[in-house]
Order: sequence, then structure tokens, then C-alpha cells
Amino acid sequence: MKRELVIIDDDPIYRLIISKMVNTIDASVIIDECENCEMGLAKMESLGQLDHDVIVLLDINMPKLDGWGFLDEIEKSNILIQPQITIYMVSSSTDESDLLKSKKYKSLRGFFCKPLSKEVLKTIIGID
Amino acid sequence: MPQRLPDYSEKLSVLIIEDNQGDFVLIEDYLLEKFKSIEIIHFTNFANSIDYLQNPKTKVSLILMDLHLPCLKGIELINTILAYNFHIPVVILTGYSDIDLAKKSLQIGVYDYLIKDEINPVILHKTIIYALNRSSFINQIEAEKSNYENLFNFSPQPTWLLDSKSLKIRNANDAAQKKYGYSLTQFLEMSFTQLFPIEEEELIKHKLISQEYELNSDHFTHFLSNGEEIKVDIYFREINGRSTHGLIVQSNDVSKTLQHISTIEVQNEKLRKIAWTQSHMVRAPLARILGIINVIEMEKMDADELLFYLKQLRVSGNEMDEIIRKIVNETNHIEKQ
Repeated sequence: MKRELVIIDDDPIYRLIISKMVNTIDASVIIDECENCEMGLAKMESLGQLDHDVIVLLDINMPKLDGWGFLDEIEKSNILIQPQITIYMVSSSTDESDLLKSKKYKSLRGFFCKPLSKEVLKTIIGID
Repeated sequence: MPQRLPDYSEKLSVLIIEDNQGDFVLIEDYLLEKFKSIEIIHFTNFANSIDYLQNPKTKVSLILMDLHLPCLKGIELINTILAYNFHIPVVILTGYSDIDLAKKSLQIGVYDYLIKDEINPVILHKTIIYALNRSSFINQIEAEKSNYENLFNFSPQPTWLLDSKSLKIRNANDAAQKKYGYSLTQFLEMSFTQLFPIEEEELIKHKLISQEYELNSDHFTHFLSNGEEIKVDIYFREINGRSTHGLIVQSNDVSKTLQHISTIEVQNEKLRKIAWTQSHMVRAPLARILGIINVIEMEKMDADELLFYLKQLRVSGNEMDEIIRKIVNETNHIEKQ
């Protein structure tokens, strides 16, 4: 089954690491790297009618629009009507306030702390 | 427990002002009969008595005085001796003819009177003991009154005495005068509510008049005479005299405390920020380092690729070093404040 992974993160090394690891786990996964939320939103809007699963890994701390801002925007739009989309928050933060805040967003499937291990990535893209 | 009364069988000293030698001898006999160790001082006229009282050889415990002396008599005599304010109980010796006068003298401040024709050792003894006890109680009350006055005046807390209805200031202690910069005369022309800003006046008026003692959930504002504004907590209680209903009120300047609290809150906010930075900024390069290690462990890679990741490890390591230095600096900055 075709899967697409959207990485929204301003850290190029992090994006590279995730791409590498996901590629090793399952080379068929299509990977889109977005270095900011604006690009991420544009990507989401361009998805159109989906015939495959889309998994979003969203960073919190980014210049200009941050991860929370991204969620606010996307919850306002009708992009999420499609059930194929799942969003995970991924942050280097271990601050409890971020975890608590993440629970307020219905559009979020989960919250993970960086770095993502191979096992977590497998769960996220649904290999296990 | 009833208070133990002093034992008057010893060291009693009675001054008798009596111009009739016969009457004096009789009273002296009775006194010597009833009191084991008594010193009797006798004068036949008023002037000599006053001279002695102003400079007594031994402390006089009680004065027995005839109501008719050669130069002075009656009410005038009583008023004159009381005016000296010797703080010694005075008992009048008189005859039946002056009974009305004797009764009246009790209202002026004489302790008791004795009708000469009725005097016997028992009555004399009892009268003297009663007078001395009463005088001792009065002295005690006077002493306590002065203690309370000292407590009021020398309290380091600004304290006022107010009329419980009009809330006009009836008295203000030294601390209040010093703290607020008003003299007692100025305070006495003011209502207590004048110290508050207009918007708090009604509230404090209501609380004081209805005697709601719990009133410091919010702090009050007071203006000093120089216009300076302070934050205060107000404490008060009802205080009742025989004819007066008052409130005793204290103010506690909490401006400094509130300032400290706000300083601490600012510092806490900074510390929270540091904790947040810690979590986000420090963990960012750390998470990257761990992520790189994950990749290196997972992937088979050639020497060039490995070199690339090694370089990234160094970049992240340096980034982390810089962030930690910054946090240490910020923390030091807070400590110095």
C-alpha cells in the first residue's frame, strides 16, 4: 500500500536522518521534506483527493509559524476531512506543558520526543 | 482567684488633722488598740499638715481629717486638700450636724466619713481597712491605665483610636504620626477614611462600621501626608469605655512585602523560561546527536558518509555547548539580582 510521509521541521539534519531511516525501513514510502510550516501547509493543500495514507511528522519549535500555529491553521481548513491523514507531533522538548497542550488538539494522533527510534518510526508508518 | 489583700497590721502610718485634743486622744486610743504597729502623725491645723504631706518623713497611708479646722472648713477644706492630689485616701471626721455635707464629700473624692459620736474601735478599724483596699484597687487600675496608654503610644505599629460611628480620629500614636507625617492635632481633625483613596472610602467605612474584622483579602491603599501611596493591611477591634464606643485600628505597611513578592514572581517567570529553553534548546542538538547515532547504527555507510555525520555530530556538540553557557549566564544574572 502506498504511503506518504510529510516531515515538517526546520532542521535539515533531522529531516535527513528521518528520510534515511524511513527509507531503510520501507523504501516505498514517499517522503516530502518541508523546512517550515508555510511549506507544510502548501503541501497539505496540494494533496487533493487522496488514494493513499499521509503521515505528518510535525515539529513544535520553528521560526515564524510554529507547530501549534500549523495545527490551528489546518483545523480551520477542511483538509482533515480525509481520514487518510494522521498527524504526529515530534519535538525535542520534554517539557510537560507541551505534552499537555498537545492533548487539546483533536487533529493530533500522538506526541513523540526526539530522537525517533527505529521502532517508533515503524509504528508511525504502520509497518508493525 | 480573689486577690490577696495587703496586711495592714504593720507599717501603717495615719495622719490625723484634728484641732480638738479630746477627739484626737480618743481616736489615737482606738487606733493603737486595733493596729499593732501604727505610726500616728498629728497636726492641729491645715497648713502644717500640708507642709508635712509635701515632705513626709514616712509615707502616709491614710488621712483622717476633721471637717472643721480653724482656718478652713467644709467643702472648701475638702476641695483644697484633694487639689494637692497626694494619692492618699482621705476619711472625714464629722458630727451629726454635718451629715449632709459628709455625704456630699463622698461624691467629690473623699473615701469615707465617720460620725464622731458613733466611732468605736471596730468601726474605725473597718473604715480604715476598706479605704486602704479601695485605694489599692484604684492605684492598680490607674497603673494599668497607664500601661495601656504606653502600649498604645509606644507600639511601633501605627495605631488610631476612632469614634465607632463617625470614624473620626480620637487619638493617634507616635508611630502613626511618624509614619504618616501628620501631627496629633492634624489627625484629630480628620476622619480615618480620609487616609484612603476615594474609591476605597465606602468599602472601609462599611467594614469598620459593621465591624467586619476579616477585611484584608485585598490590600488597602493609604496616602501619607506627603502624597506618597502605601499598601496596607488594616486590623481593628471594638474598644469600649464607660461612656465611649471606639475602634482601635492598626495599619501594617505591606508595600515592601508586595514588592518582594512581585520580584520573586518575575524571577520565577525567568526560571520557567530557563526551564523551557532547557527543554527546547538544549534538547534540540542533543536529540539530533542521538538521531545521528541511530542512523549510523542502522545504515551501512561508506567513509565519506560517515565523515559527514561525524561533522554533524561536532556541529551539534558545539551548539549545545553554546546554549549551556547561555543558560548558566542567565541563571547567574538572576542570582545577582
